[in-house]
Amino acid sequence: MSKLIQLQKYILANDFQFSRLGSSNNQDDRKHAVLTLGGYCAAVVMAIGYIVYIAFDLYSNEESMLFFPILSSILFWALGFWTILSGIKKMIVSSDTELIFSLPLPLWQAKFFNVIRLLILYLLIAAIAVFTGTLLHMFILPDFWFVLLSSLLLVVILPLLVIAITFIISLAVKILLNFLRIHNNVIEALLTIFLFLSPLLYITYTSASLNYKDIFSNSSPLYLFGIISNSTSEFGFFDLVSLLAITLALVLLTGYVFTRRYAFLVASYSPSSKRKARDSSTFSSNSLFKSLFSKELKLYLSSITYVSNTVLTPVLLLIGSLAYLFNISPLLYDTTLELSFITLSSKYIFILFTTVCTLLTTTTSSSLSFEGQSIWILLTSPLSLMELAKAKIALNMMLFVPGLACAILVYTQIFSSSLLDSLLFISFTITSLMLISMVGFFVNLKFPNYNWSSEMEVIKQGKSTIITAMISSFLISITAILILLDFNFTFHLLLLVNISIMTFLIYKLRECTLPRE
Amino acid sequence: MLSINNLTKLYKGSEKGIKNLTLDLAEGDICAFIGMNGAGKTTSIKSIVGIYGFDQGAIELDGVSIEKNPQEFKQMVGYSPDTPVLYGNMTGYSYLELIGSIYQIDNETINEQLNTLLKKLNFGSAIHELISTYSHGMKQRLVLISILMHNPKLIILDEPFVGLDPNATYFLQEEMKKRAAEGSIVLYSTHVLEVAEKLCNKVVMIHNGEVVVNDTMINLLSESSLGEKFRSITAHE
Repeated sequence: MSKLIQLQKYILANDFQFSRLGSSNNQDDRKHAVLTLGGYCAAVVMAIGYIVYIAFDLYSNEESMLFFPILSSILFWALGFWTILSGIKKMIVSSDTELIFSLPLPLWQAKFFNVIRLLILYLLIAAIAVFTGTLLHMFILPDFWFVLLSSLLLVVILPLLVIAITFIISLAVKILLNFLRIHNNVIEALLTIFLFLSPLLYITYTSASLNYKDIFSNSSPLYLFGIISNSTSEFGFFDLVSLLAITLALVLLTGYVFTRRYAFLVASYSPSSKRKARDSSTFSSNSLFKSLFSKELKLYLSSITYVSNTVLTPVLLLIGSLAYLFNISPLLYDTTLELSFITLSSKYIFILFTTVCTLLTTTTSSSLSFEGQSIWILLTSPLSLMELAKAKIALNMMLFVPGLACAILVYTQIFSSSLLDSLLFISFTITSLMLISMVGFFVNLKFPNYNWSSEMEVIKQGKSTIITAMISSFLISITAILILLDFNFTFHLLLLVNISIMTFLIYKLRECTLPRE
Repeated sequence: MLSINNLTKLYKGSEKGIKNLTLDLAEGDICAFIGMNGAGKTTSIKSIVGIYGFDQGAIELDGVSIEKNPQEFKQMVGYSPDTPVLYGNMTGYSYLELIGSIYQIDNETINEQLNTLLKKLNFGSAIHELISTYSHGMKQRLVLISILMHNPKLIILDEPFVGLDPNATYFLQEEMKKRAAEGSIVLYSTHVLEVAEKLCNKVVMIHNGEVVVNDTMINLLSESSLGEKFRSITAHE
């Protein structure tokens, strides 16, 4: 066991960049490690800030008893969503799996190695969140020792529950799609996310208000598993013991699959080599754009992590627009939001929704880094950067085609917009999408990272993805404020700004070359 | 004609890399690039093919500079890396189609070249399987096919015989001779000195990032064997 602990300590130090900080002589390496650690610290501080906010919000409304049910619910959904986005495959195989199996470890430790790594990480996160809450409630809630004991149980239960449930859902989706002979990462990613989030989505949809307290107290694992019948009540020690029993049952099921069906798991989560036989005697070279686009599409679809992290906003735009189009939810179509100083029309809300969906995309910001160590193919090829950029940007545009088509239909038909107004909306939406796709590619060009070991390093945690997300948020805020001030004038102005920035970026791209290693 | 002048590429914050590499290779030359692990062979090769930028110097092929006209330069080059990391999600077939499109090879040439190369390298139906299922040797063979199919003027191979089976090794040696005889320039790094003695007419030895031998094979072999020369240079290590 001590070997396993030593190895996990070493790998965690490596994951969190402590090893780079301590042993590297390279200035750049140390700088990168400091920045990464700084980022993690900032995330922890922000999370603690949010927990403090919840505590004070509940305290001021005399609802402190709901703190732990709400916190456990938020942790459950956040960690679960994160696990799915990171890819369940990471629990089974990773780049160091072959090395781990070659080490003198008991077989079960090798099989569970990645799960244990994830479990340690989630235990740390749960401990920080839950014990922050415990400290805040030391003097508020009666019976401190009970609170402490409940907190300890929660810290153990939540990570185990998250890992077991996400794994079981992902495996069930895989088995179902294999049975139906569907081998498509987009469908698999969407179905897994949808199945996991469906209780939360359903509760949000049926909730009387969009207050986080109602939504998260109704969707806490205790309530979902029927352990407590009233979501607004606090939970007792025996409720937690019941949840622990359910969790252990799910963990046992997961453990059984891992120990007895490990080979099946590895095969299920590895790419299939089956391809339709083709006539090998005839080859044909397509147009360069077509070939590069096809390569981009295959690269994109090869990673369930890439798909999960980038397909959400295009799908949200499609679902949202369909909801408007078929008037599924009157809340979306008829209602105007009345704030204290201004009334937001449903048309404005729809424009904002479309803008948020189209601008919150980071597909291109990791597209270059995602080439990884196969970047040598592009670097040694007689390709211009523009040719490559066109293919990568076109892929992101393609993801939004169904959603955008529906959004345009909604704007022109449901809101009965004039021809000029509709044309402005169409031009603005399309240029916004093109702009953020170009910005993402351009930022990735400036901050490429070809030497990554986990896809998450570039897709979610990459410097270019973070910068692009910040630019997206800035653009969304500016758009929201400007459209609110003057609808027609702003559309013209923003369209002009979009086109100007895009022209500038095209000009800059023509000057640039693919960043070398 | 490949002309490399004072090529210097040092890694940030270290003295490792390559210093003042000067080399001229003419049509028909087969040059062996020899050195210990970490001597600077791969750094030099990656700089020549455009993977690494370099600190100073110039690289030209038939008067085309890699810095000024990278696309034109790369159109004339075929490169095989020491560890071929390819697009695992593509089949060998679609990878070759992609390369064909990038190098704008017409369909007639592609079919003529590929069918011959696939047969000679004994690829069979594996060409329709995902690259992620290939062994190291199969990936190596796929890269060789992809670089040979556009008839490059300069062929650069980084330790090309590692992982190849005896048939593929024989094919590659013969192909290198044939391509050189047809006017191509071949530059390859290797640790297999006996093969280099037989195959190459030029030799460059690198030690600690500096060129210590840059001569014709005939001249060098008149003094000692390649192995003896290598051992005498690296004796103090």
